[in-house]
Amino acid sequence: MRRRLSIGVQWALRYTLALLMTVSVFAIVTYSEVARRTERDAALVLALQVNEVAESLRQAEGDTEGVMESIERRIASAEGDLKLGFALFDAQAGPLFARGSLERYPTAVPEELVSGEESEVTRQLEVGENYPYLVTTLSAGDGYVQGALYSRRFVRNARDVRDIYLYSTPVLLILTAGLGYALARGSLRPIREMNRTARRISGTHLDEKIPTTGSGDELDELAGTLNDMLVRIAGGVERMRRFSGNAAHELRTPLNALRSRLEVTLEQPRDAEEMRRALVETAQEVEGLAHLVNAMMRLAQSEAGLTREQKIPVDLGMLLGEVGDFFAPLAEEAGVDLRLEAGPTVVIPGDPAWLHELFANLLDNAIKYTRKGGRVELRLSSLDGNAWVEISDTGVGIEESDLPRVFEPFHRVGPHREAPGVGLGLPIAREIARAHAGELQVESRVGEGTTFTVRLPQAG
Amino acid sequence: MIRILYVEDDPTAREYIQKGLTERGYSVDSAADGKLGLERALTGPYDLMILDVMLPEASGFEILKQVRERQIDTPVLFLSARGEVADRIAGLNLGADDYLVKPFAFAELVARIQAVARRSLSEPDDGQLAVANLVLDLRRHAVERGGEAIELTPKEFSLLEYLLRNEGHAVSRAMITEKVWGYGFDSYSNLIDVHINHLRKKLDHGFEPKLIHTVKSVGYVLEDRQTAGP
Repeated sequence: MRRRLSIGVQWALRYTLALLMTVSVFAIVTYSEVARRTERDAALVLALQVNEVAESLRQAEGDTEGVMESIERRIASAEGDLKLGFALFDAQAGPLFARGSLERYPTAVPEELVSGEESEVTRQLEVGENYPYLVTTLSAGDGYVQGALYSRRFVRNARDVRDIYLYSTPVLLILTAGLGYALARGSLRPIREMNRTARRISGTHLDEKIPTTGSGDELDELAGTLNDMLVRIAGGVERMRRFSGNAAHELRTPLNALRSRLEVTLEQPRDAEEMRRALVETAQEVEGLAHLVNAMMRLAQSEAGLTREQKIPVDLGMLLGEVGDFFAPLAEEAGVDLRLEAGPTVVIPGDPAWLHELFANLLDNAIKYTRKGGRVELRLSSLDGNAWVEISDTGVGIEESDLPRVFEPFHRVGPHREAPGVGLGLPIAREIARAHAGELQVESRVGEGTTFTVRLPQAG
Repeated sequence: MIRILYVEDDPTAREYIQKGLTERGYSVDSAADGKLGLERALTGPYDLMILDVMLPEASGFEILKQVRERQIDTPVLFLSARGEVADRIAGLNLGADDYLVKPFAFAELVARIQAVARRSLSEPDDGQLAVANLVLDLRRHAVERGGEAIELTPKEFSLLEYLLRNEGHAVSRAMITEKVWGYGFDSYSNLIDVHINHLRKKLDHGFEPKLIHTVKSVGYVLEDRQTAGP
């Protein structure tokens, strides 16, 4: 497999490419503009000179000698690198006189002037020197005046500009690549830091945090999100650890009783009746263990959540009615008044068997902790797209300090630890609510009663 | 004598369950893996098959599939350590008659074997289930004892109907929860005792003979012990 370039290098390359494109466009525009302007300047300078000569020729009125002298002066006084040249032609474009550069490179009068189409023509003249000459010819009186100018001084400006770009661009590109790489690495540092932290984090070191800079930028946000996730995972792992610990403890106690009974029974020869009694008691203990294991299994299953196929429309009012009927004889025996208040039909997507278990656990709990003459009420309502089920009792209530722990596996509340059950009913109930994307909450006042509230979303 | 094929890979369970069933008067063949189990299932004539779901060579589901493909209609009872609702439904959809999750009580297994073995209960022609002087009319949804009408709630009616359909055979609390209330959880099977007591009060109070009896470590049975004997 080809190794991918690091993000730092990728970004540096992108910066460089972007700069190369920008500089190229800029250079082409600047160079052509400078070239255009210098050419225009050169043409203007030359046109001025030629027109002045033509003007003096007109004023001389045939005294060409004076004009020739003035031309000599002009060439002599002009800066040498302009390599000025002048030439005069008769009406038939026959050369009369040539000085300066035009003496060296005699140039014919252009056709357009002879034919009368144009009165002034400017041409470039390549003669094998580094720069071209500009040659302007115009009609003057009954002849033609021609002037020439070496364009070096003007064109050099444009070429200088071009050369500056040519030489400076590679330097700029290298600089940009380097800077881009450094910048990219700089802004990627938090990611490398995250990566290092993530490597250190394992099942045993979930309390490590990814450092945040507090800048509030996207990377900081990402670090925050990852940290939140770590907290949730750590919570899950911690719950799992506590659950296994508690589960082992819960299993160990009855196992120990079982073992003692069996071993002590086997120590001495016993009569058949005594053996039988020991076995009967053993069988009862094993049944309790089986109940415990089944409950653990159901907790694990409810934690695993619901599949889409498991969800069907469930009429909660009807379901609560069934659960209520199921528990009615128990409430009656306990002398507890059990009431169901259900308004209009409320239907939610869910697994009826799981929901039955959820409300059975809450109802069983409520009846168990309510004294004779007390009341247990089931209320169903629908609000804001949620079904709400309240199970409230007038029972003994739960101490405030115990409230956060009632949903912990194997936690049995306060002075009622002797109440039957394995301490998994409420955790299972909560997991079932969560599996339906809902939640289970509890409120309680000691001596007044407890209310469990189940929220279940109606849209699935 | 009822002939049972029992396929189970755990040797201890196999030994004791086979022993227990034999002592109860069943004729039991056992197999320790799916391949042998399937061979026996396809050759021997059995009245009932008890299949563990997770077996070496071929799963209990696999055995049932092959057996049903060959048009063998023998009732099948699954045993499984997996209690997931989905597994249970998968097993029953394949055509199993019952699904029992480990660990189970031996008495529970026996009660279910009896129920499965007589599953082909025919619907009474006149729509009435009767024992001694008790008559349950399925069409009118009414119950009479010695000519006297007895008012029952709908669930009590279903419970009595279930007991009557299994007249003379013990049914477990878990079976009642499943069949009458329709839920597979056993957490509240002790509540069945309360429901039975309510039914008993209405049905047996002031009437003779007593019809609903507790069967120790199993559950309940409805029968007329005065004529049927203990």
